[in-house]
Amino acid sequence: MDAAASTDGPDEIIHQSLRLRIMATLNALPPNELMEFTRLRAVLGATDGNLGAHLTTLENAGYVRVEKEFVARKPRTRAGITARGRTAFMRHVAYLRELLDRPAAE
Amino acid sequence: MAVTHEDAAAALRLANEAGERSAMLRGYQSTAPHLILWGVIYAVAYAISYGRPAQANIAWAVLIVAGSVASMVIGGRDRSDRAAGSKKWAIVPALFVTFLAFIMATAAVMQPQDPKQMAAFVPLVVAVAYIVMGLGAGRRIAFAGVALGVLTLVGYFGFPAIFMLWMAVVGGGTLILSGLWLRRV
Repeated sequence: MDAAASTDGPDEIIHQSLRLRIMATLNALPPNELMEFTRLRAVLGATDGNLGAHLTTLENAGYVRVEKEFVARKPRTRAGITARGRTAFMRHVAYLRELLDRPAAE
Repeated sequence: MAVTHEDAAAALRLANEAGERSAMLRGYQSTAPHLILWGVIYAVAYAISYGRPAQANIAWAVLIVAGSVASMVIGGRDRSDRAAGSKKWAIVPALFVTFLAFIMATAAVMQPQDPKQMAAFVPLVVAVAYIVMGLGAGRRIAFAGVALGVLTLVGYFGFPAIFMLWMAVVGGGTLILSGLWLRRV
């Protein structure tokens, strides 16, 4: 198991706030469903460059798949969460919840 | 990486908000084509009820069956139904049968004397359904229900002579515009 997806600590790739919100947004979609880049950008209130960079990071980690195609001669980019990404996200959320359940002084 | 309680709480809040917003928008996308479809059916059926009342019953029957089949097709194409491999698609026909049985039972018990009574009652029930659904799935759906219900009552009490035409234009139009509104989010 890679360090990013360790159960012992936070997922360092997902923990960054925009990447966390990207993963939460895509995780709410049904399996195999993709969301258009422009829609994702609007939902998250992110800029093109920022969103693109973080999507690339998530894609390189295998958490997200990005599909680029042409529809009616216009480029369309869509992103969706992978099974690996879904597992990593759930694990990260479980870690955060577990952390909150611990006594604050610990 | 050290994550504090505050970090964890903030991160969970962000994740929850993003997930809920995503699910709500997904719900809007799924609902929009149904609203547009039934808006068109309302417009056509009420227009026939207004212009050719003798053909109204058969027109409604044909359009309701056609609309239900179309709704099932739309629901079946919805990825959320297919992807989970669930039987979620079966909800649409089950809801339709329940709704139809409720309308027929109510008509049998209440014995309406004027066709306008049933013509107003059905969209009022639909409006309540949208409001209830919208309370959980997103306020835009609830707004669509409120608009349909209020405009139905305005037409029924305010413009009884042209109520069928009112429902064709305003009732059907409300659903179509609501569907387009949901799609734009």
